[in-house]
Amino acid sequence: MPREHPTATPLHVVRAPEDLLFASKCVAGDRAALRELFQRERQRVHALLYRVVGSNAHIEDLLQDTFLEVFRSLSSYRGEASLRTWIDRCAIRAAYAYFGRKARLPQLEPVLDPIFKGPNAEERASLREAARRLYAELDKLETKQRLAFTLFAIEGLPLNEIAKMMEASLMTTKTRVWRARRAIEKRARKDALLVEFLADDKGDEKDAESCEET
Amino acid sequence: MRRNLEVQVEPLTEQRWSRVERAIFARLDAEASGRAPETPRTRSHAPLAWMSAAAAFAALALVIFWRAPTGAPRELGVSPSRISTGKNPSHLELPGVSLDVNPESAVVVGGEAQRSMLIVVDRGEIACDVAPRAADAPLIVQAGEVRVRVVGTRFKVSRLGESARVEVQKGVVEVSVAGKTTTVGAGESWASAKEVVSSAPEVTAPREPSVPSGAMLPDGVVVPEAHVRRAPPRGAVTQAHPVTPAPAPVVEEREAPAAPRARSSQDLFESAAKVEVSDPGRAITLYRSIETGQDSWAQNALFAHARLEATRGNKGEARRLLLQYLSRFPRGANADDARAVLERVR
Repeated sequence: MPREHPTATPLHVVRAPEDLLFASKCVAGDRAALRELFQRERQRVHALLYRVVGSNAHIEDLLQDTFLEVFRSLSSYRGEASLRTWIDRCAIRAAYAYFGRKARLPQLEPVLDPIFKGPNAEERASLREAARRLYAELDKLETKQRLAFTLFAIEGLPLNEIAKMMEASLMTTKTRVWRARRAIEKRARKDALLVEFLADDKGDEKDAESCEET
Repeated sequence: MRRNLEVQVEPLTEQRWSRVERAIFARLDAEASGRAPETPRTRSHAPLAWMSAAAAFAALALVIFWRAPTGAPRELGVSPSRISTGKNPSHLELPGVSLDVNPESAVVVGGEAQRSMLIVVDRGEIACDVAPRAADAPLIVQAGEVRVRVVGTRFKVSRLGESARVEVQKGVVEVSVAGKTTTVGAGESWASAKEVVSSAPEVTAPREPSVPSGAMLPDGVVVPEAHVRRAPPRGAVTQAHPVTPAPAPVVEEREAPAAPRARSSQDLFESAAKVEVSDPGRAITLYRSIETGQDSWAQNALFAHARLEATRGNKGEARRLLLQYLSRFPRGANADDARAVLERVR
């Protein structure tokens, strides 16, 4: 006779007890805690979203979407991952929804903001132009491929992390990254600046390339 | 170790952060009290709201940077600044750079006065008067793919879409595009692929001029040899490894040679109209050279160009030009015609 479990509720491994405690304050409606969470995470979330979409054109809406999703869903946070990781997943969902409705938004010319770090204006100009061309190509990709590629190649997240964020298998994620890169490189073949820019991302292609057979 | 593609994140201003925070908590408050949010989201599915936001931003930019024509120019630091103008021009005084931003233009200015500065022309036209700078601290102006490097001169850069034009009044600038660099001196102009130099020589040149071997011009740019002087033999410079610093400051404060007398917009327009049937490509090139201006001939040329593209079956390009016409000249003489043609090419 099979042994009966005392409860059907699945057990969760709490890996981030402090985050869970903090989240519980937010869920209880502690406005100061919510504001603290916003202040603490806003720059990081902004950077993630910026690298995914490529400009600040619609970033305010994306940030609103992300933090509203975070605040509304905090009650479902179980502390199984860090709060940061959990928030990143909300941001990616918001970005995914954004790309879905992007076609309905007024289309402005994408303007990448200049890069003001570094000593050399010419390098900044080159980088800016290369990034502009890259995002123009990314705009042509299927949304999931674009998200996977930007998170991997620009944000620098590991593939398994991206897979979790996008609620996909590791193999699917690798395939998306590889297909995205192949499509961009194919289109960029005649663009020396873009080719050189993309060459910066050759260091760890093996993961993605290994999916070519799939 | 994997290196990531380098995309620098432009930070948001505190004002924008405050707006985001206010909007979020207003919505939370509204949801908590079970009523519609009092503070609307900045995202709106209605174009009107988006336009309002854009207008507000433009107004903010103008409030910050615009000066009345009779007022003293504003002194700006060189923290990253975006300037967009509406119907009025704007004048800025940056460290060592006097910058005029013409109407309907947008630029982003940044960099460090003592090192190097970057001005990005997103649309429209600017005129710069640059005090002599150190060779290792150049001013870079980027207009699409075209890059202008300068260490001390007076010049104009105008941009429409991906094309750009550089006119030098004093001194020398280096123009880079598609990995090649050329030098443009006082009294000379340079135009990128989809542009054409408006000064006289190209009009008097053979009708199908080939690209001169010395000019660094992509895709069949119509610029005669006499118009753009060759750069000194510094070797081609790729965009990825941009313009190598000049061995010495390129501040040639030489007297501008007598500039060739430019044909008027009307002359160019009439020339274009004459060859519409026999040589539509040439006509389009001429229309393009006029339509970036602000006068009535620019209106005429833009509409004529759009109509010609529609006639040739290039509906997409015709639509783009007609929308541009209606955006720039909503009450223009051909506005009604433009709407009618637009209906036909939809």
